[in-house]
Amino acid sequence: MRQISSLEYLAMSRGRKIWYKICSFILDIPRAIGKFICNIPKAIWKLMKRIGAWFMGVIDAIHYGNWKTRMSALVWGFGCFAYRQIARGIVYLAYQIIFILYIVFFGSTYLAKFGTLGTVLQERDEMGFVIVQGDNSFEILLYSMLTLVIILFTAVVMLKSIKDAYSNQLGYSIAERAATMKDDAQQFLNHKFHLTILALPSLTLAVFTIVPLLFMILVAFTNYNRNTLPPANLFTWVGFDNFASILTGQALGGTAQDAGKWSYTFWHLLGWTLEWAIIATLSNLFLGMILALIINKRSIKLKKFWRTCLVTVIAVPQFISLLLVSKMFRNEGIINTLMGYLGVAPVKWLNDSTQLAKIVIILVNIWIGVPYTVLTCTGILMNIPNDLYEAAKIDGANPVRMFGKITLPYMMFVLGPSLITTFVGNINNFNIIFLLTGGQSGTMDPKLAMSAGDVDLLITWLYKLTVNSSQYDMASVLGILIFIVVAFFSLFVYSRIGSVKNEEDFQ
Amino acid sequence: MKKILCFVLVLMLVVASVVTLAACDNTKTLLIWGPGDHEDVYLEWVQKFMDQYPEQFEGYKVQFAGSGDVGAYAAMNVDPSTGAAVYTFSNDQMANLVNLASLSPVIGDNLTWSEEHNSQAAFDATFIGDKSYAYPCQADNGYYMYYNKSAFRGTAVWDSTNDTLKEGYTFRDLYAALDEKGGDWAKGKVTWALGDSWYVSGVFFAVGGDYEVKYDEAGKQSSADCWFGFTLPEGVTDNKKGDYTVGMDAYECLKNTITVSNTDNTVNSHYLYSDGDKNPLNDNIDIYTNPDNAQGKNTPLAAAVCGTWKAKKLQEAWGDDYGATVLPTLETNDGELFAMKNFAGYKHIGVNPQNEFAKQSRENLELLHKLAQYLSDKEASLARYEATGAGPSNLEALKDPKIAADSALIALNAQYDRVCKYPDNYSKADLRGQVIGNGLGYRIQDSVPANYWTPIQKFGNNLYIEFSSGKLENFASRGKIMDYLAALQTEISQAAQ
Repeated sequence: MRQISSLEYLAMSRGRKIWYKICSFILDIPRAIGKFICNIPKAIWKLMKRIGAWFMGVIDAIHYGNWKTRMSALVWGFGCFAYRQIARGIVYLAYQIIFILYIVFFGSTYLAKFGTLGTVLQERDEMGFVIVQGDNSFEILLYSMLTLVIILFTAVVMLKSIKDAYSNQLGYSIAERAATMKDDAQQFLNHKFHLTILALPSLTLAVFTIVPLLFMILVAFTNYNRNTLPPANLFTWVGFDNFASILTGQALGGTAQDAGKWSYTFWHLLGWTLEWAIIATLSNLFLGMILALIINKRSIKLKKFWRTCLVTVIAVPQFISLLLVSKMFRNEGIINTLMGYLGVAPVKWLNDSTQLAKIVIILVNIWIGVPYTVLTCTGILMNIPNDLYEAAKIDGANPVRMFGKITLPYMMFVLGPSLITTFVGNINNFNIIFLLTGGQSGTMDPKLAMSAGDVDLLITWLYKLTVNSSQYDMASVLGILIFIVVAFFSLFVYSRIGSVKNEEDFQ
Repeated sequence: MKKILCFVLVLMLVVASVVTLAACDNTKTLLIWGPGDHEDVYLEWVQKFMDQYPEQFEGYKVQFAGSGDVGAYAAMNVDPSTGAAVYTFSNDQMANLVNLASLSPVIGDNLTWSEEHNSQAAFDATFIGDKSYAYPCQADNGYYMYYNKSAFRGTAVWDSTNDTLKEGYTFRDLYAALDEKGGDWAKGKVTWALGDSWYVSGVFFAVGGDYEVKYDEAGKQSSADCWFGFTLPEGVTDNKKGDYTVGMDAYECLKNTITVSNTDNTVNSHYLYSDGDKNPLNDNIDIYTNPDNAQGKNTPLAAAVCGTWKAKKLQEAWGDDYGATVLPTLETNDGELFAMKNFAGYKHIGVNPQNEFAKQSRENLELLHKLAQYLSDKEASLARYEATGAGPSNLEALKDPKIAADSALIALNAQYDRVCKYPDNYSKADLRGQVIGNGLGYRIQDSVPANYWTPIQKFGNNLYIEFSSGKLENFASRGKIMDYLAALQTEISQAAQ
């Protein structure tokens, strides 16, 4: 589309202006996506540069350092001992010794088998008694990964020891005295206080979140499923086979069964997941907004009562309401019974056709989700300064224009970021799908693989894969793919919304 | 000041986590899995056994978890060493458990004991290949017909001399009898769960369908063959119809059961089916037998295909009118009759050699075998029957007068003993050169193809949904049905890993 000047734009008729805006928005999307993707390498490059700068310091230290500094690469803390920093030196040395012991007696035994994930099968006698425990692929994968993380951390410590030695060398030549233990302690309470406080949270984050996450990612590249469960069986690396079969329907090495089915199911469910997330998010947003506006109108009586009614829906735990609603929509449920009394033929709400079930799910979601939007919107509406409206009134603006120029921009500005969380929450909305339908409604599609149902979201399918059929490899691939989808949408939308781009505008 | 506060808070966090870790209990537990409602019986009998061997079980405490929970099997899959030491399971799970090496083979004296003390069919069901992997404990995992006598008494389907349903009755007979009876029973319901592959399988077996699974030594499925669809077994040629498939007969029987009208796609109002609910039959039986409930009053349950676990409930609900008998006879459009078969499952007790207790020494493993025997023996079986109505496989327990007089178990055993031959005009009877299976009213649910349940469930569900909505997709024409059945068969057979 041709770029037009502001003058040309102002000269347009009202309808054409709207049309122009819609067109330019849609045409802008590919460019924005392109720009977003182009920015990713830039961000990575920036990060690498910062890490690189840190390493340059180490190279400098080795290059310009004296023999004492260089020696600290072999015996950690040597540089500290040499400059009478006994305590710090002992910490470094102790770490080195513990690390070497760990690697020799524990880490290396697992790390050696990391390439194959084990070759020795468990041996049992005729009664099943375990004679030779054999390799446990699961443990090998887990501990190897842990060891790798520790080695990486240790490498950082080692380089830090060299840098310390170098700075001692430099500092000694100036002050003739290196920092003492007392100085160090002082530092950790003063300008390095953030390290002191964040040490424990970072450690727990690493142990309980990052390490398991890395492990789960590695599982995606193995054939860890119901046929290869350890310790009686071994599993091994399969490279990108799982990804290939779930994305393209073609197994690379031919190990994955029913590759076509996997990919059919994945694309089928991805389509419905996105369809669901978009409809659920937008329906909640607009209906909630309208409801909030209505309640906020000056002519409405009993405002608090209406708000309380809506909050009651939030007050009841979601899964309880959902279980109740799923009972209500059953074939013999209360809705059909009531309809029977009124002489209306019963409708199979959740198990006649897929389309009907989808509509019911979205309606129930509106009932569950709208109160949240209403509450947020009410808060925003009450915060819009009244003088804006008064000024608009004096200028002769009608209510529609006031809504379009004052209320909506205000609300969208605040709701933008929360829209992302709602959208992501809906992509992973396990509760409503699973509790309402179990993922299955209507005619079962024989082409869907591995107990997937026609209204399953990717996340409920993932649940079924892990809990019911022990397909950990595919579940892990699915988890990664869900992450990619969610990360893409969140980052893309986040970088585009007004509240991030024009942060200062909002006062 | 702020910094000190911060520091103190972090310190408290550390102390709290250390204390939590230290508070972990160190008692060793002997984990047992059994059916959830059998908890008390298992706890009591395992404790009795442990008291007999105080030295070996020193420091151990018995702990019970319901094996019906999904979590139990999931735990076994993740790490068999945390699985129960001794546990009950239904025999279709056996192949998976052998694959996990979570079942210790029964050999030598133990095998002899198991054979001597249990019914032959139950004992046979503990085998995969030539190895037995568990002790039979319950032989009641089958289905038959429950009925309310007052609904059918005095109608054409009633055998007044024996006060029971006439032999060889069909679903059509039941529906007709309800119409004939009139009154409240004119709206009476007959149910069996079409959305449950276990029940639907009985129809496939009735018309001559079968499957065969072969395993390699590790318990992995090496091949799965299924004859429900298009392909005929090797060396068999059909001389009647060029496109013969047992699945077609099964389809006709099912369609007939749903509609009975044979002409249009409407569902008979007496036929009760409920999909979408997790346990269709279990839920509905309670709704439809309770006269206080609108549905129980307006559309009372007249008959239900179900297993022993509902015996107590129905007996309470129906009182003296409670009856149980063999499964009905199925019919096709052409008027061919097939006695419906039962997909007989068993519950076994197995020993997990990967469990920490068993791994310690071979003596411990043998002791756990003794415990499994103890739990499957007469006294424990009787205690289970008393507590829950579970039908034992132990021969001595079966001779107990109470069990011998249990009408539900009588019906189940009658179903097992029933001779299921094909009708005389049935030219396909010797398709496989023999009467399919054992010629009796059951197919042992020994080991099921890995990919068995879901396709069959889809088949049953689709059938009902399409007939009740009148929108025929998969079943619109003979060709389409054939395609569907062929796909069904391929799907089950394909699962060979």
